[in-house]
Amino acid sequence: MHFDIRAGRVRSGTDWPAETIIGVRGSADAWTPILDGLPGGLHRAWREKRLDFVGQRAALMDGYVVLYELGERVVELSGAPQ
Amino acid sequence: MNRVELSAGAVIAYVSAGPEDGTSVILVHGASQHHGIWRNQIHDLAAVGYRVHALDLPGHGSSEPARLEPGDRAPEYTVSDYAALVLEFGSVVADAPFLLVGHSMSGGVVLNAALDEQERLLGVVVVDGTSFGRAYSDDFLDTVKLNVAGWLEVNYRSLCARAAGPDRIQAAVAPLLDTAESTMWNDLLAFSGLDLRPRLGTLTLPVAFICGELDWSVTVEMAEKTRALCVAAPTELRVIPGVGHFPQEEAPELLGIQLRELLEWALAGSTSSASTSTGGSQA
Repeated sequence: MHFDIRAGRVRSGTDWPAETIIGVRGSADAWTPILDGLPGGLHRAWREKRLDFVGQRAALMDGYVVLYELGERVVELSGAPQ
Repeated sequence: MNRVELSAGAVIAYVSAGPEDGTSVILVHGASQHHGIWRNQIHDLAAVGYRVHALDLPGHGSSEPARLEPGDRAPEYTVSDYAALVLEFGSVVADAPFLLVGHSMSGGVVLNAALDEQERLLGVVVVDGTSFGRAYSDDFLDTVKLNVAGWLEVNYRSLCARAAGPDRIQAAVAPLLDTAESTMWNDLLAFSGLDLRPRLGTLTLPVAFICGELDWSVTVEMAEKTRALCVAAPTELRVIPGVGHFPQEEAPELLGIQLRELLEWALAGSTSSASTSTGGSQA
């Protein structure tokens, strides 16, 4: 599964674009604890290499705060205990 | 803010509170923070009779920023440098042995200070801190340098327990937002190079640890490892449930209780000539 951000929408999918600016991907086993509210969220996933952050490194860092907050909203929407 | 010029021209800004005849406690903030992270504890400890001093390490808060640039590979100030300045600061504000409290990276600073001159101290309290850092790879540093401020903001937000709520998380992050990128970079390098483990066995003064249960970066396990190496020192370890890396803002009331108890414990231990047994509890 990966996040695919297009036209301001976020969705998940299994297809992977050939040219990726910022991509976050991992197995269902890797995603499950994060969506279940693992403390640290996507940032912890990056630091602990639980997920693959792919694409352009400069773009990833430019959008890092937004990406993290996006992950937090996804956790909220998934109904994980806070 | 008060200011004092120390050796090598370092100007330290600090605030003081509490009765001048109280036992001195020096509060040392963590990486890319400043004295403001202790705002609740300054008044809390002063109210129970301590003479509290909370300083801005060089490069932080009201001090001059560090001079290096993101991408440099050697810090301007190491943890050892910070420790020497804290001890020198202590000689200015306290005319008797004092207590040291350090948060996060400055858990290492206060342990380093104790290793250098423990006879001048009554005890140390390490809050979500450790005696050893993470050795950051070149690849890691090459990525983070592209946006060290954004990366650290995310890092600090993510280290707070979500249950703390947005206002308390924002308060924990606020000192970072006042910090120059050069100082942020310095502290990343300083923390990466921290390793006091081979020396910890020489400590004989009281050493206490307070950990947020949900701190996933400087973990309870890391504190336990450091504690286990303090084989000649009386030690205590307290875990605050449901709290992350910034108990000063996430749970100031709970931290206040633990801090007051452990400072009293350290004072009792430092005045007991036979106090060399290890022990403690996890709350």
